[in-house]
Amino acid sequence: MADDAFAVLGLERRFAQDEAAIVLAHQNRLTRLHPDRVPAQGPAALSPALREAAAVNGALFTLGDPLRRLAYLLSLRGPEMGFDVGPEMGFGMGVDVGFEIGHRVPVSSAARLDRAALDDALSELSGNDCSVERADLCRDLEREIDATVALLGAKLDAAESPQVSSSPSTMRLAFLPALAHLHGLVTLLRGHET
Amino acid sequence: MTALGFDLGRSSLRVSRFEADSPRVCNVAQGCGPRAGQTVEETLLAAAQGFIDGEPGAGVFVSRGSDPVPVRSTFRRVGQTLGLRTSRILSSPAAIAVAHGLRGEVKLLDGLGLVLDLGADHVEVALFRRVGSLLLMEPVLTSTSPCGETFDADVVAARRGATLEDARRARHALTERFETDLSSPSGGAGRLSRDQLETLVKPRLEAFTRQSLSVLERVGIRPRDLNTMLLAGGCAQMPFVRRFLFNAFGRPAVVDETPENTAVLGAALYAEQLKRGGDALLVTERLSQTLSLSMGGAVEEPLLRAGLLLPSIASRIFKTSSDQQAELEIVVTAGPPTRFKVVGLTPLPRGQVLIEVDFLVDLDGLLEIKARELPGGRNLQVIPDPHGEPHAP
Repeated sequence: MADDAFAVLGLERRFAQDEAAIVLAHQNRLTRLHPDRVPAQGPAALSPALREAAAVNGALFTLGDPLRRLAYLLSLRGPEMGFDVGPEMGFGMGVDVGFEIGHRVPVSSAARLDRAALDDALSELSGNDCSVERADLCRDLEREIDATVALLGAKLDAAESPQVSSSPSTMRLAFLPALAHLHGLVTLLRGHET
Repeated sequence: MTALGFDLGRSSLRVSRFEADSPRVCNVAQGCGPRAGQTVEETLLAAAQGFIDGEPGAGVFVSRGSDPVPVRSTFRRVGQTLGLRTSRILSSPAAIAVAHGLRGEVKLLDGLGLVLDLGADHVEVALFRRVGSLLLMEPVLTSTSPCGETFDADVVAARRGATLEDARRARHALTERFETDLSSPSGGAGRLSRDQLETLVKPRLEAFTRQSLSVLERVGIRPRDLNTMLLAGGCAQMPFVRRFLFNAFGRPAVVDETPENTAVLGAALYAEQLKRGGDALLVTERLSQTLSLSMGGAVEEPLLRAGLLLPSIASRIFKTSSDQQAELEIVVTAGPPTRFKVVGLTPLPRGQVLIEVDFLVDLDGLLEIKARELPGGRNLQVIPDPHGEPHAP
């Protein structure tokens, strides 16, 4: 497998990132590796240039979004997860082992929200008259998700520090259910937004 | 070596060539659109022959938002047939922004800008942002033109005896005059004034502007965030359209004298840059349609999502599902399914051969598939399989 997404953008491998720095790292590298610079060097140079640029774009996609970044950090510690939060950019790919999503260690209130009840609530508010209430609910939910992702990310960074010695697989097991739940919520939210 | 730009509209084909020692682009062929019975490929090839002198260099094709993958593949094939060393496909908004940027008006591309390509049959709106030499394009919307062919149809519906061609001619005439004959030889349909034209165009233009503003608002952009508004396409000639958009967006429109040529000029300028290996502006566009892997039946797994920056790559690992399996069929969907066959697998009991497949979408939005066997990484041949059995829906 190629370099991991953090290495591709020259970033330290951890959840906490300055998001503007991610964008800047992407822009600098894409400017340098842009395949439109290559044609003058002949067709043979094109394919590797495309791959390099694609890896840079993929790294931005994977790391630019906190939830994807979190899922990606976990995917680096073991096999592919049983759901897709978008590591489809050539990173963290593996044979799908059909990971069973358990139901342990909900981390904050967002992870505890009942998805079915939310789905019902959003559907009920889907009429035109309720657009404000619906937008409010979506915004609240989004805020909850962001806060929980940040919390999980901080915990992951803390657990990765050399002072803490938990085995990678134990850590994955602790985080996966909450992450899967968050992913479910995001999917739900996007479904109601469109 | 020649640097060429091509812009194939529904009723016209424009070709431009960058002249060797002058930054000006000339030789724009107009009114030579696809003839009946001629394919896109034949039309482009016939038109291009006359423009190539000496060694073919680079060619840039302008693509319209509605161009499906097959049309873009045709552009690629035409480039190969012409023997161009490099060919590239740019969306029309990108070509328009490039036209300004590479003509020494790069300041116009500072900050966040909006491009409106107002063609006769459809319009395309995109945001752009220049970061150093990177020109990042962000599609906003594509819709039917509010001021071109729909206007012609409105005129025909309102005036007995007028034909679509009469209306089109009148529309062009009214960019310079205040009144014109609607139909020349036969008469009968009377005269048409600029005021009448504006009355017909206005409601459609209002709907189009509302739609554009609402899409922008959804991504958190207000008109005052825009630094520039670039207009091009035939409809941008209409003074009323320019005035209307200025009022709606609160930004003065930057328009060429012949705005229908702006995109093809941008294409030729970009071709010249590619030929020279320059890097003043490097266009980066986004995947317009989600690419999925068909897993049989109605099940699809997204590979690359619409909106990703190009180029983009996704990898998947497949396992053989029968003993001595020699081929692997892959079905990719982005709209209609496209079939590929990976051939030459090592004959082994099922499950013992792993095939890693890379799906690479290049800068032009065209898919390239590469496969190799694991372990060892032996490259496998991938062949398009247009005649494969269609999957059950």
